[in-house]
Amino acid sequence: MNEFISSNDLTAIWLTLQLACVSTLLLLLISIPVAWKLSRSKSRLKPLIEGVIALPLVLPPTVIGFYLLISFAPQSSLGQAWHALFNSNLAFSFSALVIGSVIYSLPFVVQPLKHTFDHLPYKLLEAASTMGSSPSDQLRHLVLPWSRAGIISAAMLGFAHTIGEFGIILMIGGNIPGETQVLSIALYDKVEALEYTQAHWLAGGLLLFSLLMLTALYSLQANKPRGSASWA
Amino acid sequence: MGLSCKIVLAKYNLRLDLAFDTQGKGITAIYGPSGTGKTTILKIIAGIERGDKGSSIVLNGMTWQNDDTFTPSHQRQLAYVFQQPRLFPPLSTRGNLEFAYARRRNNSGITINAAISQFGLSDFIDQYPDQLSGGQAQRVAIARALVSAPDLLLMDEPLAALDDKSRHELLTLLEALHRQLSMPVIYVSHQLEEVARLADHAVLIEQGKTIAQGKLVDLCGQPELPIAQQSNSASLWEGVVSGQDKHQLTRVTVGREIQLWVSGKPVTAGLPVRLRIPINAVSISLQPTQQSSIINVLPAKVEAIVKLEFGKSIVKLTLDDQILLASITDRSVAELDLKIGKEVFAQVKGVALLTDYG
Repeated sequence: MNEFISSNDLTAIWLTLQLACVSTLLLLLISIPVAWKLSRSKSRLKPLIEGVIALPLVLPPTVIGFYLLISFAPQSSLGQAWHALFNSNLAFSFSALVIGSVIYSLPFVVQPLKHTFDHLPYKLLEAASTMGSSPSDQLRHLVLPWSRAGIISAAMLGFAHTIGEFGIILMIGGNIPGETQVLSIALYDKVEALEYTQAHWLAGGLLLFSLLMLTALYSLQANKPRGSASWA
Repeated sequence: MGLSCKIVLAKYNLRLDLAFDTQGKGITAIYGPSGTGKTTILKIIAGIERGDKGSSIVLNGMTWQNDDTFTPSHQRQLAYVFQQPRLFPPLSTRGNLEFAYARRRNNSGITINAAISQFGLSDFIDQYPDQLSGGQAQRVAIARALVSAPDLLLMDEPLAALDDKSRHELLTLLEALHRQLSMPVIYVSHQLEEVARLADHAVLIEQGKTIAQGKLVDLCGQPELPIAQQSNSASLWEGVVSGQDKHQLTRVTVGREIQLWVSGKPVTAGLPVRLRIPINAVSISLQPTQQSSIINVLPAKVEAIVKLEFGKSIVKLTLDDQILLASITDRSVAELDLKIGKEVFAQVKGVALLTDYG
């Protein structure tokens, strides 16, 4: 290994990518039905639910991290249930990072999805209803194919946001190489240890990666495929 | 059998409080001026909107809405043709038909291939909605509604957004379709001509209330109803083609003894037809006119005179067991000294023959 990137750093990069991939997948699985339900719902509880999902946007990550830390603790009911199910501790584990990431990045995925669903041609969905298409059938056969661009944007945002996460991970994951030491934490370590050259490599790499990701995202939004916007 | 609804709704500035029933099949027109909530009535029947407490929607004995139940739209076995075609843009004509066919409610409806030939869709079966003309798109929309095999068909001014030529083509198509449909059809329109050509029954709506309902032929003979007071209002008669003369005029026998001569395309004898006699095409004289170009002169009796504004009146005439309305001026009423019970002659100029009825 050269002097710029240690094998420890490579492990951190690999772990970060794993975390981002798993979290993004889970985020999509959760956010698509949630955003669809929110978009269709006229419930009075809707603002409250939207507010809860948006909390990570305004709260310091350490606040969320603190509450998660407490609920992941081995004595907590969640911690005990987890132990009973998987025979391992939830606190300071990769699974804890995934749960934290999903919660922390939820608004970044739900909001663009809901925005996409809100702007679907509801009159066409109304027509589909009158042909016997249930809301879940509409989601599968009409909404998802029509929302491809919006779903990709949401996934990219969720992915990029997970990669850049720091505060929550510090609170709930600690700093275990190969288990919870992700890129942003490794970078923090370098700076603490005054290893500025290596810190530059990590920081610069993350910056470049994020820029590429965002550029791809915006170019995607500029060139929406035919199927998604041609009915306006 | 049929649809039975009671609709109560107070929303924004719209007030609905009405009830009507349909037969087990045939077209029932909901007719009334724009802005009276006709579209909302259809949306409530379809479950897209929900009527207030007191509403009830029952089709063939199945309750879709009352105070305790509300069946969501996708579980109601109906099809809806909107004013705009509302085709799915990413799907071709065939794709749109297949979407509905895959979700059809039973196997009794027409197949995709039957719909393609009946509605003449084969020329653009692989084209996408943005490549279709308005008339083509609406044909696809009607075909799509039918392949979903509905128990009730709702149509909301399906011809209103079309140009005259497409409107005429589609109206002809709907006339032909009329007899084949085995389910009740609710047809919303404020176009008298469409209603006269398509509907068997009508529900007249004004300011959110039913002002009359019944057989269209009967409603068109009631001069106090708005449906009979438009400049293009007409009496509707049902008769049978009974012959043809050497000048290509068709003779139609109505009731026991009335005979009318009608020009236009020759029609096979024995065929039941509907005649549309515009109230402006009927004039009244006290003597049977001689040496006139008007062919149809019929003895009649004045049964009622309804005064409208601007010096106009509608005279209700009875001929045998038929009713004929004539729009004439108040001055003519005075000069001819028309009174209830007076014997007169109705001169009919311009009868439209609407085929495929009976």
